[in-house]
Amino acid sequence: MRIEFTVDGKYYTLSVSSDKPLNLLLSDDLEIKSTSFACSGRMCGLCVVLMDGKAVLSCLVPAFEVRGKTITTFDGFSKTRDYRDIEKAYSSMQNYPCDRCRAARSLLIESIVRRYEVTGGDFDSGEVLAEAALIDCDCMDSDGFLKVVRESILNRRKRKNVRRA
Amino acid sequence: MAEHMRNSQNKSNKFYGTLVTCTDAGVQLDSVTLPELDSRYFTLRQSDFAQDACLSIFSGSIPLLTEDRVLYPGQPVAAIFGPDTESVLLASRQVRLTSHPLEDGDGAPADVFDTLTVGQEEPAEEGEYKTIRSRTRIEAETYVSASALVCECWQEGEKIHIEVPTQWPALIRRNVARLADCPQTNVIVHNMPYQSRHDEYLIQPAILACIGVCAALKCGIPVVLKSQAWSAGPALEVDRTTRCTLDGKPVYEECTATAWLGAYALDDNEFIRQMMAGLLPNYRTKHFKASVTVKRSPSLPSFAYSSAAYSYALFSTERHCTLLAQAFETPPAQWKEYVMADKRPFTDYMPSADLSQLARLDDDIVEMSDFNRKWASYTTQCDDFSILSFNRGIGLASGYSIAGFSTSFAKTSQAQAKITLTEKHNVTLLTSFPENDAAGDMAEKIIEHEMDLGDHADVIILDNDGTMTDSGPDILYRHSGHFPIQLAAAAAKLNLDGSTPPVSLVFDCDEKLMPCEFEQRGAAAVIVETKLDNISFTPIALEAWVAVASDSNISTRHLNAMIRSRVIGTLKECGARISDDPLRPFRVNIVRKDWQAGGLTSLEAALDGLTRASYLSALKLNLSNIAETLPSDEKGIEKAYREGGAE
Repeated sequence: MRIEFTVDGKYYTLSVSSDKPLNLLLSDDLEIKSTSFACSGRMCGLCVVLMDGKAVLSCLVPAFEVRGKTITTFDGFSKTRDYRDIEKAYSSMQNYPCDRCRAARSLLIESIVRRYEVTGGDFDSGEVLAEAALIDCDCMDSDGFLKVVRESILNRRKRKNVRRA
Repeated sequence: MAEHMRNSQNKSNKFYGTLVTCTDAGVQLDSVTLPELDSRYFTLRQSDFAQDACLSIFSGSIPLLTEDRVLYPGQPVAAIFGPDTESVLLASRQVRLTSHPLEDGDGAPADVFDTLTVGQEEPAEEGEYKTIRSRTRIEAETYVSASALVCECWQEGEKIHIEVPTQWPALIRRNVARLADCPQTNVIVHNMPYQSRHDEYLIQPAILACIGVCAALKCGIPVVLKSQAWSAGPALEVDRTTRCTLDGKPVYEECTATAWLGAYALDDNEFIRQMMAGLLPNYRTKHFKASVTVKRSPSLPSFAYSSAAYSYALFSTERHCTLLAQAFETPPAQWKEYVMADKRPFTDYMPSADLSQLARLDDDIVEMSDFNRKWASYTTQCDDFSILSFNRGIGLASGYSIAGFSTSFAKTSQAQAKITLTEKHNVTLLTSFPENDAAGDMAEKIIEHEMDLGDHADVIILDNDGTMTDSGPDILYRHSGHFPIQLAAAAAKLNLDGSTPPVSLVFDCDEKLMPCEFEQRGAAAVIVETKLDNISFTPIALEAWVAVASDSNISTRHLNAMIRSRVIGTLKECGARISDDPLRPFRVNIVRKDWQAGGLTSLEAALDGLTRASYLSALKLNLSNIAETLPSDEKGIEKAYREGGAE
């Protein structure tokens, strides 16, 4: 089938099998290497990308679901100012993810930050910790992850408020 | 308008393959019936190999494909190749195997045994002593990587190319050259990035590469072979008997350990040396005797498994320490302070050690975690278990770390690297180790520290793809823990050389001149607090405190990530659930101290063992009658809870 979608700001049209997973579309067809860990749906969580701003496991998203969507990978995201907010949070909390999961974890945090940025609701630690379990990597403890997410939200709000002023 | 148009359908220029494996272990194959396949498919059996179809690794070997005896579950029997992965997988499911069980002792190799005695040859019998016995068991674990292992092989003229993530490129090059009957210079290994938890990229990638190359040579076009990377840990049983004076000082200790290392022997003697180093207690005794026996078992062959031999032995040693403290009704922190006043003596396996640094590490986290109060409180709860409505535990363990191979093993290996000072006063480093941010940063720091480089000089870690350098396997934390020490010595030597650049130095990656087998590479102390879930009986890890003595070359960022990863990963492997309670989310509190002994440190091996020991000590406070076996599970805990014993 033919699908059209946007990846990191670029518009693509591909002719692919309808059930081909998104991570293979990205790594094989678009040669984006930051999501190249292929666990074939065994929930390693390392292939997280943002689909319309929400974190998804790209190995579980078939090609037909991607049609018309906007995908953000770590390759594109790491060049944005939004990523700087998260990087600053890692640094100020002295809690860095390992090289293995940095891409997936940063995108997951970005997805949470965007949600709170839009809804502006109270921070729900339980919900955030449940989402953290998506990534099967042990380099960050639960408490550290919560602190980094909170700090990232603060950084984002601070930056956006400064810009508005 | 589309910026790009691509088509992923054109794949007819490659063959895709999969391994046909036998799920039973300890059987003799009677027949292997392959399905009828059209001309787009071909199969590979043991008879298709011109040379001996086995993987030679260390001092042992593993068959690539077997046609007679299947000694471990999942042993490859054949390989099927076809135009796409899906159809090949379907074809592999149609293979029919018939077998019958092997008779006991049918061709089984003999056990390997070694013993160590420190101090008096035989324990003196006079005097009044209290005898404490313990048994620690670890069940064999198999770790399968979440990421798929993909190996691509192709031929270009005389050259054979292999693209695969591997911890030892030279192992693949050597074996492929032997099987393809060509010089090693014709085999080029392109090492793909990998993240290994338990050395799962050591054996399986090499097996895939050998089979893949044979298939590529047979069909003449590139082949892609997919599988899962696995690694197997040993099963272990350690019995320890200590005779202590009535005031709690250990005097005589004897320890018997038995390890089951899978179906094929890779290097049992090295495993024994690593175990011996871990079995040495962190207190002085008049007599200490340890004996280790290695046996074969119908399971996956086991060798390193992230320094399992040392880590598991250290785990049993520290676990026993806590039992000794409990026997004298003293909190482990206080008991350790009492027995760690003396130096640990020199042995063939470890140099003498000043135990006061360990005691100071203990102090740091004991205070921070309020260990003594919690220990007292939880011990009372354990005594009156049925009265109190909560059940919590806390455990402490501390010890030294090691890294790399033993001196005896290093003397037989030829692992080397090359450092060059170029004409422009840049430094290049050539190894076969994979590129890795943390290790690369450390190598740069070491070279800059050891060599007087100008402001504009660069340290370049060369792209090691396809080089003929063999720096040995990237296991047992050699790359991060052992190699930097050799690199520092080589850089200092090159700096003092004074020759006109360019000047190079080829150096050994392992220490061959140490008087004993291993050296202390840092120290750590770990406290873990747990509780039992009241309904599911799952042990939940609430918080951990870690104090480490580490050198300054490793950045805090990498060190903290490594410590968290090791502690959380090990707790999960032990059967614990990490607390995700929003009111008290799991946290690893880290205290970092300088490593006073000097030199570089590697803490991974110790952290694994110490986390296990403190976790099991904590679990034992949760439920005093639980068996000393890891990993723990809910069923065992429930049984211990209801019936008063997990056995």
